[in-house]
Amino acid sequence: MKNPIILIFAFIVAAKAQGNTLVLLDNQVIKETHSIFFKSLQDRGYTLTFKIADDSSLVLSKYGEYLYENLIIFAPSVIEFGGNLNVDTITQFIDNGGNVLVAGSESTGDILRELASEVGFEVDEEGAFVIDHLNYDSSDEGQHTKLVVSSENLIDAPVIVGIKKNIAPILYQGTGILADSENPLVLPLLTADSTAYSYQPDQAIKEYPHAIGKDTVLIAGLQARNNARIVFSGSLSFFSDEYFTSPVEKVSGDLKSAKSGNEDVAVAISQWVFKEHGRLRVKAVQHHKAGENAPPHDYTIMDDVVYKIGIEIYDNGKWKPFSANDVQLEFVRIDPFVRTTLKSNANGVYEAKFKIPDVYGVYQFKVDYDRVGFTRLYSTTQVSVRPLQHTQYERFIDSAYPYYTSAFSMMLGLFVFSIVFLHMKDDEKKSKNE
Amino acid sequence: MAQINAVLSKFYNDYMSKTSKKLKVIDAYLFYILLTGIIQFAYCVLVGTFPFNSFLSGFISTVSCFVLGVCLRLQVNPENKNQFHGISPERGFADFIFAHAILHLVVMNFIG
Amino acid sequence: MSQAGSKKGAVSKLNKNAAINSLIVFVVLLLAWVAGFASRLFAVIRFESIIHEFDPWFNYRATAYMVKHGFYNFLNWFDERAWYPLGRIVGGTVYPGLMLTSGSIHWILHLLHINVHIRDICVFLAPIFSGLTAISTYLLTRELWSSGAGLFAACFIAIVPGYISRSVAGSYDNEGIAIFALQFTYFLWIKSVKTGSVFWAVSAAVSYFYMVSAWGGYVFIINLIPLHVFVLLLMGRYSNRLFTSYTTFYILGLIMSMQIPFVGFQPIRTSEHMAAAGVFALLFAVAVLKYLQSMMSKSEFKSLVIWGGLVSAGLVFATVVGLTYAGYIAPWSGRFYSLWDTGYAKIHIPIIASVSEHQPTTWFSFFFDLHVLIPTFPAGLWYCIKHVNDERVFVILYALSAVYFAGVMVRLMLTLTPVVCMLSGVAFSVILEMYLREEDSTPAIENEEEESSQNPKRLYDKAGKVPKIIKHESKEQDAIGQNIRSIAAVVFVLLLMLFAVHCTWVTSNAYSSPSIVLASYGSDGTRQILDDFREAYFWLSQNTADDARVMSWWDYGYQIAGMANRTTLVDNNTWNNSHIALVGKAMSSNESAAYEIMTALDVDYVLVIFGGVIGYSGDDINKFLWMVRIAEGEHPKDIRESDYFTEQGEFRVDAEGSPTLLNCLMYKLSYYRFGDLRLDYRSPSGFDRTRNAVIGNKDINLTYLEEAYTSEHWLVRIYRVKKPDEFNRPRIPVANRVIKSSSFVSKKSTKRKKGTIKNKPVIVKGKRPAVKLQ
Repeated sequence: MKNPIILIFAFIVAAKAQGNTLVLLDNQVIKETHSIFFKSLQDRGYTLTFKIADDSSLVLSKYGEYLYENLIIFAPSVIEFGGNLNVDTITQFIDNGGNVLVAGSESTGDILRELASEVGFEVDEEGAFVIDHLNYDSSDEGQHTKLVVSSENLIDAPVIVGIKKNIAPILYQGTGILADSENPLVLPLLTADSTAYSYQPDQAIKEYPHAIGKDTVLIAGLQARNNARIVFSGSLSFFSDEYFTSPVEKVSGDLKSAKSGNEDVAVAISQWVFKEHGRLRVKAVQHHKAGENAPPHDYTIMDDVVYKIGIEIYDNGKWKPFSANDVQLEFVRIDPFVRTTLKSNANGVYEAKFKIPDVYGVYQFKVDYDRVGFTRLYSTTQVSVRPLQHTQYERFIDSAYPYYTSAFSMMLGLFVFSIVFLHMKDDEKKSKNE
Repeated sequence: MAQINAVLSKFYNDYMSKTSKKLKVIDAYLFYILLTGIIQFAYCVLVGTFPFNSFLSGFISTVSCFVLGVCLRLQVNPENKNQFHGISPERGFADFIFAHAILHLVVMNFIG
Repeated sequence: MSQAGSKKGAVSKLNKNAAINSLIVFVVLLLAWVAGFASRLFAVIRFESIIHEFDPWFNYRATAYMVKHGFYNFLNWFDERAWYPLGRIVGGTVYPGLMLTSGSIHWILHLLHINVHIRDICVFLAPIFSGLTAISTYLLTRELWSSGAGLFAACFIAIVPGYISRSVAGSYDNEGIAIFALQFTYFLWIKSVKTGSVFWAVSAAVSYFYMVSAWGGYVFIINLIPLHVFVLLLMGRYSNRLFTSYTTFYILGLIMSMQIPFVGFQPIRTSEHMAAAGVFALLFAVAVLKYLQSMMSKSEFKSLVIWGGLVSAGLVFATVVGLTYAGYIAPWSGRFYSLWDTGYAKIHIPIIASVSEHQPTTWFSFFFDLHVLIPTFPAGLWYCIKHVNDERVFVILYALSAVYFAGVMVRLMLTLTPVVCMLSGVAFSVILEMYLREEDSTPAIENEEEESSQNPKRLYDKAGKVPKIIKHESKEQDAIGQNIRSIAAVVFVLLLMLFAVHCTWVTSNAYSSPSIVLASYGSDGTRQILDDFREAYFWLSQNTADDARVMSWWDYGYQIAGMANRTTLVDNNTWNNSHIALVGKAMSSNESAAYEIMTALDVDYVLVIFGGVIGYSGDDINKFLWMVRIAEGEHPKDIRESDYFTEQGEFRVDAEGSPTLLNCLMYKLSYYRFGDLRLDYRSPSGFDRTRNAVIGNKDINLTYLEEAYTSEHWLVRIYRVKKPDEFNRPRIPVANRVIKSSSFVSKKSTKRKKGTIKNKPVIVKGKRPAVKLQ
């Protein structure tokens, strides 16, 4: 059976609501105070629909079709969403491939906390700020909550946050996020410095803070298994015009810039979360015996096989060949029997040639390319590998010729013997008769 | 040792004198088969049993020929007449050929 | 038949008698055939013409494949739907005799333009072959004793339940044709020992070849015949005939048996076959000695024997030891060890012990399967011992070994049945000869007439036989009428009638259930058909992807493949113990551990058999301990049998049961949603009728699986295994959250859909219309 099962997770969202984005706000002021960020989205072709978060007409889907592709929640203090929106509908939206960008603040409400938990991270308690007594901005008002975060603290993934070196220090004021470090899907996009902690600034510390040092995540990201992307920022002001444009100066000196890195990072993150960046797909999979072109009905053990896979990346609205040198192919039957790095050709076609092992069974060609920031590329093709047919065994082996000879000599011997024997019998009879 | 030699030589003389010509032909045939079998076995020991089915079919074909030859010899031998009621030498020979036909069919199937 | 008749005719003096004799033989055998065929049709009449049970489904599937794709493709068939992902080379792991037999029947019928579906041939193959078995039993017994005994034996074997159990219509299995091959091989062997003819020996070898191609039980032949030869040698019954027949049979049988791919080189590699080779060598040695003896004087011979004997004995011993060391000769396989030591399998190979067919036989089943033959068979044996000759030695050995093996394994009852029939035939024939003798000249005729009257009895109703018996008795009285004679005759005839009635009853009640269609009887005697298996398999074939992989316990592998045509992980061809253990481990682990195994094996669906609703005792929970044991054998760290018992060492499914059991996958899948089900008003909900207990874990939640289908009587339950991407987000469960949030009460209602924002300033109110205007 030819059973190519190709699972391409890159196309989850139907292309119908291209770029449609619902923006939920605490109040209309936010629209003004974060205009640069919204402008950059609109410039990139997104259709933004602004709604107040408690609007009673809120809907994400109509007649089973999602009206939006992306959801931005810039409403930290929402207690309950209006209309049909609630945590369940939003998680459903995510499960159906929608992307969500959430910004909280020190006053993040329980509903957002609930939402965060649904996607694998937790937001610190109400009123808690991330505090760092060493790395705060010179414009801080005394609580040491307006942090200056070096771009070194960004995640090591250019696809998500851009190239770290070129980014100026980042301003941040807001609550801390706890990420489940055991969960491989959760990405800490930006973490605080080792001297930071998350607590209510106007209270004496009675309990051990929930988040301390580098474990305090400022911006957390998640790429779900269906490649839906979620980014949760503990700070709404991170995206504000004010932070985008203001100069940065760390109190203790060395980090200083005329303009903060916030805009660069925010734009990069928005490009990632709305899947402008890091989207891969399988274009085509081919496999055949060496020297042939069509895939056979089944392979025989020890065949030489050629496997080709074309991979494309989404870039500025077009699918272009993707090039990398770390795509691996596994030939799996419960365990991988062959694991090889695919050779990259031009046009994003990767190729591997190998010999099928001397074990029959049902195998899968498996390419599982899962890199931070990229959508998961997973392609399996099931083929069966059969043992030699009875006609395929080696024949007329040199060392067996003596046996062949003997078998034939037996027949010859029988023939000669029969003639002699019968003849002699006649002789005897004759002699008897005589 | 000398005793054994004496026994063997007596045996040889007895054989030459008592055995009929027909049986001697069969014995010659058997000897030829035995020789082939021994050569094959020696070859197998030296070279190894790699094409195992070829070795088996070659070797078993000689063994079977030998067995059938011996059976024929027993049936043809007039001394055994009382043991084989209703089996004339002709019938014995026909059976012999029948067995060989089947044997060689199988051997050919197995040898390749 | 005419041959048999003519032989008889030669014996009896009158030509007229000869003709009548052959006619009687012919009629009796024909009736035996018809009776045997007809009594095997209960299943078809009660249910329908379908393939039964488990293994037959594979045989049928393989046959259908062969008919469709041709023999060579069948030989090379690599079945990728079985044993996923290992696959199975069917051609090399199957005894092809059965498929070839029905395939060639199909081919011939189609050549004659009789269009019969291959399924019908498969269904009726075993009943048809039972007739052939009867004939070959007749021939064999005739060689051993007399024609009369042969007819008795033929009638017995035609209807004896021990054989019917394996050969009812629809039970399309190897044994159906193998018993015929067995009997026929023995017949030819006896014939060849008697005559010393190469022709008969070759025929025996060919028949042996057919047996090898049909059933693994051929090992019985290849050990029994050498044993026969060996015992004859010990008894000093060596003859040139014996030499001719055995050497020819062995060497041709050897090379022919190696033509079956499944058997391969086993005949020269494994210990099971070594006895035959040893006897072959021994026979040669004896023959050479005899020959030398004939040529030499005694003293010469002696010295030669001493020298030659010492040298050759040393040589043989050294080779055998050397070969075993070098690993050329495999030690005995597990199934054979379990034949010697009944406890062996239980300790070492749970997979063999788990099959009910491999359990030791109970006394009850001896009686059940053989009835009146049990007491008469020793009598026949005694007669054989009393009048021993070359071929009777054979039947004595056959009887003794078969009795032993049948005692060890229920399944081997089948090899015992023919010899019991033969010896009982002998006993009855002797007894009736004694009591019905009218004149010395016509004893045989009496016997045959007795049987010919016996036969229609079994077939039709009693009315037919009564007059005939009266006739006999009248004859009896006409003769030197002794009351004892007539009474004895009547008693024996009554016994035979009882036997016939018993056979019919057993066949119709015990052995005619196809086991894929169940019948239950209501309180008012109405019969209900429970067709859950086929219902579920049909669902699978219609509602799942073509390449969906179904995990189930191995018992159902062949049925899923045969009826639903879906890929299975393990099936009744239990060649890979570790793969089965993996499935057993999945079934006996908790859900998340099982899920790991299931994703590693790409399982799409899990199928369990659950009999708690209708009280079907052969379900998976009752087999569960075997799964645990088999899993423990391979994964002793993860699975421990003792975890599944209560502290008192009981296996309970109710609230007292061990927590490991109550949370393992098999338990959950069997009892999912069962806690809500009330079967009737008297019993509480969740009452398991099979185990008569209220289940211990009533609210079962499944995380990684979801119920896909449950058949009408809950007999078959199918679950879908969720794919990893269905667990899309790494949700943090409430219990694991560091930051606790307060419980939340929604203020929204159907009318008021407005949400709430915390520090909603007054401005918002003023702004809101502006939003709407936008």
